[in-house]
Amino acid sequence: MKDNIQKNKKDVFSVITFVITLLANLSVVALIVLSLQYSGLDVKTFAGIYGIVICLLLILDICFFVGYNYKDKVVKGVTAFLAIVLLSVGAVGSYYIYQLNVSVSNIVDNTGVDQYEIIQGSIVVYDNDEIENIKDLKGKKVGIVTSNSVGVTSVSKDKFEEENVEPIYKEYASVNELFLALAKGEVEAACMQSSFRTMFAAEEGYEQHIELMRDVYSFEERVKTGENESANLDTSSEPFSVLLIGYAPEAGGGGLADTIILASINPSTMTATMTSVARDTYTTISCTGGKAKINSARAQSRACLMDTVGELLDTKIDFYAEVNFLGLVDIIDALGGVYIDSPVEFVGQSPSSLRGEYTVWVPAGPYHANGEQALAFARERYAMPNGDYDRQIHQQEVIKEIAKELVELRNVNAALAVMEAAGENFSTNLSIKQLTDAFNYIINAPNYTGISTFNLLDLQTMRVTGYSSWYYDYPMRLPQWIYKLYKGSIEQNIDRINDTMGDYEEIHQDDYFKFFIEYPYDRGTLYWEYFNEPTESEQMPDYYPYLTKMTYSEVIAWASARGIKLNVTSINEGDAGYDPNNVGAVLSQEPRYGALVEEWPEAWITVMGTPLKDEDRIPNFVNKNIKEVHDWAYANGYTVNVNIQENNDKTKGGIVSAQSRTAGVDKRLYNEITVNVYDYPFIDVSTLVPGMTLENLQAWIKNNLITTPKYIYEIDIEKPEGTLITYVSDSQNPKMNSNFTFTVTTQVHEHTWVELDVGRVEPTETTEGKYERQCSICDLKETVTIPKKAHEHVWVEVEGSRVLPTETTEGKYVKKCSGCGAEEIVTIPVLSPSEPTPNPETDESGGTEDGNVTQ
Amino acid sequence: MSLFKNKKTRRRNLVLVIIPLLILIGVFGYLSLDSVLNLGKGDKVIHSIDSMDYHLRAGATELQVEKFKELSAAVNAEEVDDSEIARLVAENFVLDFYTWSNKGGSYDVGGMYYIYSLQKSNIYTQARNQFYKYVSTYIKEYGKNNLLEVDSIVSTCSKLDEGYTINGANYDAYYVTCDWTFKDNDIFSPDNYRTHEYFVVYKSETGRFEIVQAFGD
Repeated sequence: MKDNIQKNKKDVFSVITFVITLLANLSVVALIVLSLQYSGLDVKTFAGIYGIVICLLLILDICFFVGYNYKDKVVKGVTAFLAIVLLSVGAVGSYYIYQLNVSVSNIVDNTGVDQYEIIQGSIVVYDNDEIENIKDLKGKKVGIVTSNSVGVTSVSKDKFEEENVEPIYKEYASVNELFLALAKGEVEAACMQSSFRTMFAAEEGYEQHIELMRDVYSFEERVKTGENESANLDTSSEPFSVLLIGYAPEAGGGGLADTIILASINPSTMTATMTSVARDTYTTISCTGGKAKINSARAQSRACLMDTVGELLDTKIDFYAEVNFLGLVDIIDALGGVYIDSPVEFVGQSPSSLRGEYTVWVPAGPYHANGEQALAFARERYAMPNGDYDRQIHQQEVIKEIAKELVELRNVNAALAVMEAAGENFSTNLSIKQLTDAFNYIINAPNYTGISTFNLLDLQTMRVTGYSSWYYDYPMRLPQWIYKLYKGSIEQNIDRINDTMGDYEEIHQDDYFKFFIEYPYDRGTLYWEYFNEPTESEQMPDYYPYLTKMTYSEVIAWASARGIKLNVTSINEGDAGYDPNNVGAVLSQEPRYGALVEEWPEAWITVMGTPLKDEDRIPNFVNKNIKEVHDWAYANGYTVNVNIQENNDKTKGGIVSAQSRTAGVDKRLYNEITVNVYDYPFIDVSTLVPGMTLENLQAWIKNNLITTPKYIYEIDIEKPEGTLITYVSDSQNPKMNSNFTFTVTTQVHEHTWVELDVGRVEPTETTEGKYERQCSICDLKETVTIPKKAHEHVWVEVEGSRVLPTETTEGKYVKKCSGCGAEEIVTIPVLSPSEPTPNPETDESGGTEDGNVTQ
Repeated sequence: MSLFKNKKTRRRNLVLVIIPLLILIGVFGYLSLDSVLNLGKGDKVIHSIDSMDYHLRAGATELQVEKFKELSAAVNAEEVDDSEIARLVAENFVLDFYTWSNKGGSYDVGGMYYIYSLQKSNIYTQARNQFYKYVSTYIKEYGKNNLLEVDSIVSTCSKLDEGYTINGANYDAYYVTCDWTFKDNDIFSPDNYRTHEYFVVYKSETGRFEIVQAFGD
């Protein structure tokens, strides 16, 4: 019985040892197989470890064979011990390597030459209950974005084909236009990328449209987007380029690329150049052919972004490496943090929250930052002195720091943590062999300098510079800030990239080397920030600003300058929501920011408190004549300070260009105002020549001088027919507003009139006559009036009016003009005593025609 | 397996079989450990003067080896001649710096061990962007063996009476003149390169000799 138990124990021990030995063999072989793909990291080390493990396996198997064939207890014991040790190493090692492989397979796209990409999209309808699924779109108008590469458009078309649905496609140049076409009902459905809601959610006025949009079909398709010609490129010897793309889908990024950096790497020279491209760069998008911000290319497809950057920088992009910002936080944390050096202290954006939530504190100066802080530092632009420029530099610095930490990483657990963090958030089409070859090359590069390996890598940071500009997005009715690149900067960056890639235009080999420690080497400026190029600006229409960011007074001034009818609703004391500390604030506006003024001649705003009366406001003097300012100031007891601005434009002289007091503000708050006024330009007095006629002089004055009351001129003349003798001005170099005194000759000749042979009108007894005459010396013409003709009476004695004279009394009679009816009494003298009394009927000589009677 | 049948000889034979494997394990272990320890430290050096932190690269030319040994001897001599050390430091710099035929690329700048430590990184950057800028291209196009190699060198040295001042402190310093020749080369004509240069070598507080100036006529 005891022997049986003993035998059974031995058998069990034998079986267990056998199993452990077998498992040890299997686990060690598995460990070798699983780790083979990393052997390129350091062939010597891996070869040595593989050699040790294989030797140990041989010892184990020999011991097992001997121990069990010849029932040798000691050997059996050694076998069991060795088997347990190797099984432990194999199992634990295989587990970790397996975990590593899972992360690596998430990161690395091992599809070789064929390039695949996951395209996510939706077929969307707008406020339409009739269309329930894709089949209902047969024969209906469906909007798509014009695209010449594989992406949402091509996959959507494939889906229609798969479902045997033939819609009528209508193409749009951009996803913005497509969005609005759908909202306006131009199409019944639209093929959009899945991220479109996030993309447009941040745009004012789009929320209500998004709410009415409904997916009737969604897809997530892994499709071949092209071929990677660099799939077999040897990254340990040939130059290559990697497009680094950073995006933040959950943080409101909407699938847009936040960070775009082209890394050009030349292993043979250990040189790398990181070229940052601003995400708002306005350029031609490769796959649509239209112009847009470069970051929108990623929303089409990753391949589209690679092609767009490649075309912009005239370079072939071999690989991509895309990182989700959220993952970057974990990667940096796994590395134990990185060093940053912020120029300012700020509270930055949290990576896990939506846009606008700022909770991450970053101190100024050198600081060992955790993942969140490093990411906030890399993304912050508003707090930085140089805005987006600083952001791009900081992104490059953080990448440099990460690379440095990775190269110097020796902790296996940290390495695994980094890989795990990267696995979910990092992807690249570099193969594991290409990654390990490059890494191996760098860390094993001959180094006889005493300088750290990382510093052997000549890592240069560049950026394509440009200038701020705006364009008006008509489909979205929104002004968009854009960044236009200097052509010179593009060329400079291309040259630098070519230089890094060893593609030298010319070789200028130095013939010797000199240095002085007193004069440390200065590499000079790698790139210029500014180029002396004409800047191009887009034509901007007049659009509504954020009225809610203006005071009510400013809104009044803005609206009145455009003739916009303003409808104001006031929230007054006693009303719900009244805030006495916020009186004058504009609380809401309709239409929204960006709406075209020409489309909205009327606006509606809500204002806190009762608005001021118009007469209590400081007027808007801009574009008005300075005289108006003086008049208003005089009437309102204001002092006017005038700043003169240089000006050569005659039409602007005396016009106000700016005012210190905001138009619309309560005028009772101040008593002085400063205005900037365009100066009057200098005038050309060379045309004021003595002898010029007064007529020409007056024309000259009209063209060159200001004749407002403030600026006067005098003409010292006696007769207006004179010519200019001389002039005096209050300045040797007079301007339009200078005072002038002109001296003009008196008349210089007596006119010799000659009647012109036309148009003479003779006078009558009732009307005046006239004729034209001209001076034969000076050609002066004038019209001469001829007075009316005088009236000649035709007298007739009024019958029965005659009274005969006597020797003592005079006679008389009345005569009347037969033409005008005038009457006169004619006296007849007294008779002499010898003279008989005349008989008027027989005496023909008794009186004269004028009534006087002849003796 | 008659080796293990006999109980008396079994364990002895087993040990005899295992010993070579254990030796192999030791060899592999050494290789691995060596590789891991030297990871990121570049190639091995073939000679070192540890007290001065001077090293001779693998692949050094015969002349380099010879001159390095002379330097080593000068450093370790019973009666140290600073002037001789300074002269040999300059010579070793020239031999390594102006020889491209044993370099890995533009980044593999020779002679850096002899450069003023506190500005080594700056001078290294200067060298790789100037004299070494195209070395990688030359290696790719013509092969290492066809690149420049210093064939011979002579030098003279004199002590600078006024010494050399760095950051207000004055140090012993030496003025070294080097003349050298290049191996005949069909691609890189030696006529296109200067073969005469002056150096100022100073003796630091730690006794290390470092080049602080290098210039031509």
